[in-house]
Amino acid sequence: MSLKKIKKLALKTYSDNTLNKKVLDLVSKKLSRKDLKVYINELKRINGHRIVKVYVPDRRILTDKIERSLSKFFENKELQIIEEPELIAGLRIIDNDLIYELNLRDSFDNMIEYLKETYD
Amino acid sequence: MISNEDIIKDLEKSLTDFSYDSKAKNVGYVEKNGDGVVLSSGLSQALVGEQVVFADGTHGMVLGLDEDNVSIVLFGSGENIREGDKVQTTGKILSITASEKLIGRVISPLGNPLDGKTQVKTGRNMPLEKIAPGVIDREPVSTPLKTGIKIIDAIVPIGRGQRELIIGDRGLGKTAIVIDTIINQKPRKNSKSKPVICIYVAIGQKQSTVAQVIAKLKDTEAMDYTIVVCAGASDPVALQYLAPYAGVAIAEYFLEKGEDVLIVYDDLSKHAWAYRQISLVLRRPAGREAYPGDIFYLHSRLLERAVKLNKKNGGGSITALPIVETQASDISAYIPTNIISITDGQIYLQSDLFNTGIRPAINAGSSVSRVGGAAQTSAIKSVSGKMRLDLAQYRELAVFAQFGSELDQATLAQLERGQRITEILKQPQYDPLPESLQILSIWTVTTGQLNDIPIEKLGKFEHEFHKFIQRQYPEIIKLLETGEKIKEDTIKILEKVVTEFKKMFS
Repeated sequence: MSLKKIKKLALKTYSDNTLNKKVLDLVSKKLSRKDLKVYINELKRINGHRIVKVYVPDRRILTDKIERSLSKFFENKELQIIEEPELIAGLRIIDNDLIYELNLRDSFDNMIEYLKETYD
Repeated sequence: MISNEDIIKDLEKSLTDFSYDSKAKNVGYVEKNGDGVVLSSGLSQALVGEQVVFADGTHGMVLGLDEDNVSIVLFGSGENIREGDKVQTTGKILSITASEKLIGRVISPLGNPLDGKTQVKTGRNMPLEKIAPGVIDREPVSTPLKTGIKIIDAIVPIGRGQRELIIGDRGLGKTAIVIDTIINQKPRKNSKSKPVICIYVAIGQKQSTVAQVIAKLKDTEAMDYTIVVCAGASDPVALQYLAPYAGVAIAEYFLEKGEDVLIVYDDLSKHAWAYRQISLVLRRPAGREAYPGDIFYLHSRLLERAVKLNKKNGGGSITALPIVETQASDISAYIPTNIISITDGQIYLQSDLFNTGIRPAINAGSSVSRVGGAAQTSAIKSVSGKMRLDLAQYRELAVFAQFGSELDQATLAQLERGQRITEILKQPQYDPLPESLQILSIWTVTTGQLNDIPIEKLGKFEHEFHKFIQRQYPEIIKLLETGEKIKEDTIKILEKVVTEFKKMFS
């Protein structure tokens, strides 16, 4: 089966932003092993587009107001809040293949990298 | 010992340019790694030519964007990069840090030191890919770039800002010509011309060959004004592809400062091979000799960066001497014809001449310089014009003389003159001559002053005559160094000097 067709199938498997299990069962039974691999990868990719991961050093700093504004910013996407104390302060947001670095830890890392590149 | 306060102050100074703004990084995951090229998913925001970094610290450059994946060429071996590894963009277009500190150094196309010294980190970031200056910023080539090689300076002169191809089979002395040219750029006392900074770019060459070149440059003190950019045969193919662009990016740093730069690409055939390999691995459609369709643009955009800027833009220049290796003297192959059409002339080295002992083995008939004539000084122009004609006539007559028929006196004299010119144009390696001595040699042979000297003694005569005139008549050398057309009075003096020397010469 062509890549285009598999992509179309993967899109159809998601209806109203949720995985349609009936379609999934039907499609996965009919696909060859090779095509199934491509199909799963495509599903993962679509799923990646749907979920936004928000890393915070402490869950308590994420007030309702911040959460609301994040939901508004990433409309139609599911927010996943993950605690990561290493960040020290601020946030790290991962939206599919984009990483927004808004925290102290990443700033320090970038600073170290900058010094390595420029310091004689 | 440095105090803590000093270290902190130094760090603060270094961090003044650091931006604290939040950054958005673009990530992807490795899908395939092979033959120096990685296919990666994600990286939806990546740009062509953007530098990326893998989880193991290996750097690469985005070279192709597809619907689902991105093709990245690696700057390292990439043996630790596995499927699923993270790769992220750096937001930087490939560039090299250029500064005066690079002079005398041997570096990789990424600016990493190859001479065991520390990395030059301070300087200006020069982009590897840049559009060449336009017609408004340029001016015609008018200043000579003296190679110190008689036949080149007289017959195929090179001007500052010119692109002159050096073409020939392997082992005929292509590199020797450029090394001599670099050696000849050594600043001379009381010289009126601007010093030239030299950049030697070694592409896909054996490390031993590059080491020999560097050793020779060091021996002749030419490394004092030379930078070597090296991507050897064992280096990743991406580095071989980038090497000439890194070289010209460094050249542009000096150009912007109004300096004159000479850049040597040794050689562009191997550069084309490297690009062909990358293109085939990237599954780009192959054309003639399996080269990709944009192979012409690859070299034209590189050589277009050779320039002579006008005074308003600093008046600097980049002179390019690309080298192309031919197979069995076939100059009609794809890459040689491409580069011949891009450059402003070519110096053609022939194996027949090399085998008959003519060194440098330059074929004067097939070698041309389309713009260099305008850059020649009046002095050398006045003596070399006649020589070019004599040499052309000699070549024509030499063909007929092979039939062995009886020849008249005039033809015999012309053949004799041709042989003498050929002999006097021979020159040993690593021995470039200043223009004043070149003029003396050419003048003596074209005016028939050497007709009574046996051909086999011409080399010795020339060498001793140069020494004699430098010792006894330094004022003549000074006069010839001005580059002005030789006057009647000077000719009379020269005739007397030659007669005087002939009496002494045994």
